Amino acid sequence: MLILTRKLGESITIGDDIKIQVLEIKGKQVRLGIQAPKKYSIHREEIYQRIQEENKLAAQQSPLSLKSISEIWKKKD
Amino acid sequence: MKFETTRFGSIEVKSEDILIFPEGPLGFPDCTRFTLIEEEKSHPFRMLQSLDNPALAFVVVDPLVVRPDYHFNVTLNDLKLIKADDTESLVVYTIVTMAKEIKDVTVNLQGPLVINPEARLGHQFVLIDSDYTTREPLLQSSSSANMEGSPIKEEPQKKAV
Repeated sequence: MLILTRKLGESITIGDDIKIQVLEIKGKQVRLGIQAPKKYSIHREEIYQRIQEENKLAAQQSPLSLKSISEIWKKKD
Repeated sequence: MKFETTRFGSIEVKSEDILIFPEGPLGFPDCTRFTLIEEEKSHPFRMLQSLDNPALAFVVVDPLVVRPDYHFNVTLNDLKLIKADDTESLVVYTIVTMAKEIKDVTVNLQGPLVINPEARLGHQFVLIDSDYTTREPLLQSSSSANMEGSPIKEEPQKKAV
């Protein structure tokens, strides 16, 4: 991993079209401004990870059958 | 075409019933081919069965059935992933995480599966600026009113966060 030290207001560029700027530093939080072409989707990593983990959990064999969950669901109203 | 599945045994799937998730659901990049299976009496729940991994199947449900006011924004660019020009004809599913007891069953409203039935393409979207989480209780004091139309709205530009 390439590690760079940046001060407030300074930027790094990746390739010709991606720019990441340090906008604010407050305690343990850093606000970053990101300029990138629309073809790149930019996400907070933890949201991605959370969805990945949830998918893996959901993919496990179910203790409730589809039929039983559907029966309970229909009775709820 | 014949496919082996852990849950349903050997199944016959017509090519028009195969959905391609080019990037796979998050965490399953190698599982790109799926088909939707509706079991008898399982409505409104369905199984999204992987055709690449016999053991992989997700329980899915129309999110509007669970939350009639469910909605999220997508960009035209997002729609390109599933070769769609607008949100009109798209189908949305949310993955259900089952549990021993129904009160612990949750739905992943932050990572909806969006399918373009015409192109038979699907993609799991990640909602960033959303109040929905990956673990919303299935059973909620929800109204049974159903909203019309599509839960997806097009947004002109995506904000970088």
